[in-house]
Amino acid sequence: MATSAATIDSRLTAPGVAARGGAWVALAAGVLAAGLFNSDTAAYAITAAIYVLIGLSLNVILGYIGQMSLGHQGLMGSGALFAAYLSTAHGLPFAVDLVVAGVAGGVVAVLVGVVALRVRGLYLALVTLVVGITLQTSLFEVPSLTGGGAGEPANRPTLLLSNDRFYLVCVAVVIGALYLDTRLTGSKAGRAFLAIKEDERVAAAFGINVVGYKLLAFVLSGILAGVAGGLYAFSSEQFNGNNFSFLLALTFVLMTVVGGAGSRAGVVAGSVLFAVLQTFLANFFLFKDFTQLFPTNLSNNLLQFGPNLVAALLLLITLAVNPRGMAQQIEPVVAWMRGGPYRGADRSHAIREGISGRP
Amino acid sequence: MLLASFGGSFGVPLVAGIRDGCIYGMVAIGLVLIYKSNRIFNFAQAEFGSVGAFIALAFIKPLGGFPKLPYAVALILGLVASAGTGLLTERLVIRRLFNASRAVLLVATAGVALFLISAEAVILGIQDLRVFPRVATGTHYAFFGPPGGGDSFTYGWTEIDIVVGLLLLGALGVWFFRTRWGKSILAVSQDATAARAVGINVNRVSALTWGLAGLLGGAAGILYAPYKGAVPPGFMTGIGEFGPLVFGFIAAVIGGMTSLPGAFAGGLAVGIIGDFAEKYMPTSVPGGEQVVLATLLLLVLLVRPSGLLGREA
Repeated sequence: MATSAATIDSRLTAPGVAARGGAWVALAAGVLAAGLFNSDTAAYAITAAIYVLIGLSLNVILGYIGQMSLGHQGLMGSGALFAAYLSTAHGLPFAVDLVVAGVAGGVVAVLVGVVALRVRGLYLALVTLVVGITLQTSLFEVPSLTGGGAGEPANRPTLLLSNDRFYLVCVAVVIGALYLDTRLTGSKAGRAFLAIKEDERVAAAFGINVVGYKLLAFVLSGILAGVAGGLYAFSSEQFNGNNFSFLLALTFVLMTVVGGAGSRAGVVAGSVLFAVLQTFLANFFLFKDFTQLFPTNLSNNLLQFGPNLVAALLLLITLAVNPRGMAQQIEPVVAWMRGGPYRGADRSHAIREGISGRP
Repeated sequence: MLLASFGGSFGVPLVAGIRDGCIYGMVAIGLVLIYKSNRIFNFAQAEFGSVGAFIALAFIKPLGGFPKLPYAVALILGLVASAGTGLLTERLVIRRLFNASRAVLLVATAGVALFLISAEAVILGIQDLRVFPRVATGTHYAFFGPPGGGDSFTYGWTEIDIVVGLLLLGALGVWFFRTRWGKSILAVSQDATAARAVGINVNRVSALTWGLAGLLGGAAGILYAPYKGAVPPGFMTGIGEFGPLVFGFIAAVIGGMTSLPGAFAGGLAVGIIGDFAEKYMPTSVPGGEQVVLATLLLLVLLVRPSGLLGREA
């Protein structure tokens, strides 16, 4: 991180504190308003919160240790599957289901991670790609776990039946994840991750337990993805294996990179942007009007698949023009809100972040 | 013949495996080509083939405003479209990111794949799937068992597929090791700086490599589409199933990721093992074929990361 809590010092004037406080309150109000406005926006906001969790999860692997995962839909789906199964078949309470979802994601991630430790470089992308699709076609199709073709129901507890209340739970989980993520990057483990990302051999030479920290990164990522999957199952109130296709994994990687892998604020922004693209855009009146310019067939397809097309273009533009993603643009604002001065685009950190430091 | 004594239950998955293996081998050779030249996994490799197949289909049916053309001409135009997609990817994405890290390039190819799949979905939709017609059809394969004994598949396309696959492999082998352009691709893949020093135009070779990869993807696409029948957008990548992309990756890893003959042999192995697994894995395990092949990939990576014919991991 370019700035840390250490930059909050006594030089802040009272108006400065007030302005920053006001900005934080406005941000919090905006986050709450998205969920409490009406039931539809709450549904979009729930998706956004789940995407943020996935983004943070992928960021641990992509941004912190510089590896690649194209199988996060599998981790998320494992969490969703076990949450739905335990809730429906064994009647366990909501909170327990979420914990088990996290454990399920973590366990699958460890299994993948054990293999990942043996392979070097980008082979992990292949392993996760194959494991993710295999999970979808095998584990997610086991009839006794998934309720056959109809999907396993995952009913919310009565207290959380309304979208706005469920959204508040999601926000609480996201805040918890953000807090843990902040603590992680500030810890010894966080510094070890960065060293591993820069150069594994050098990190090992400095006495960093490369194998252990890589596994830790996988476990943390898997737990976050599993919890996100559990929330997803309860938000749609069922588990259906078809929802966890390879396209979803692609979307997750894209949103993390477009947001700016390695930057917490950037990843959150990217995830929200992609969630909005996927859910809100298809219902947005201007976009609907735009699709009406085309013949009926094409306009329906555009409504359904246009967001993916936009996402892919966003990614390619980001990589070509702005490799550090949205993090680069929002960095001055983030720095200011954390108590630092407002600086224009500062490119001195350009080498440190982005999805890999080394050319 | 020994195989005949096993009847159709053994011969059919074997022949089907060789048929599928030729397609996976072509995808794998494309993947290895790109890996050798750019050191990345090209996640858009199979989608080059979908583009070619859909363009060919548009001329065969015809769809939209495309003129109806003879089958052979349409296939050639499809191949051209695939090669063009490969060239465009190189020119618009890969060359711009020449100095970026390999992780960035990897994400970029995944982005190209998502772009192509979404473009296909926007233009074609996923509701009414198009059936790709076969130029040659028959009813039963009778080499290894009684016709119509439950274990049969449409033939005609199978022979074409195997023959084209083997011819293509032979032609590629000659082209790579005997011609100037083929040898310059191999030279650049070994050491780009040294290749430039001896006067090879590295940019042109890079374009050639991607164009060739696109062409290979296209050949796989127009061979795979007719026997798959109804083709959804992204059918070569495989959405919610193993598509030729995933089979091709497993094949390329088994072959060592750097060996062209190894990739084709890996393709045959994956095709045969996959078809036997599909037939003999208990149906109580969903996705038996995928589980067997994923386990195979993990085993190869764990036990012999350099593959069977590769020199490095």
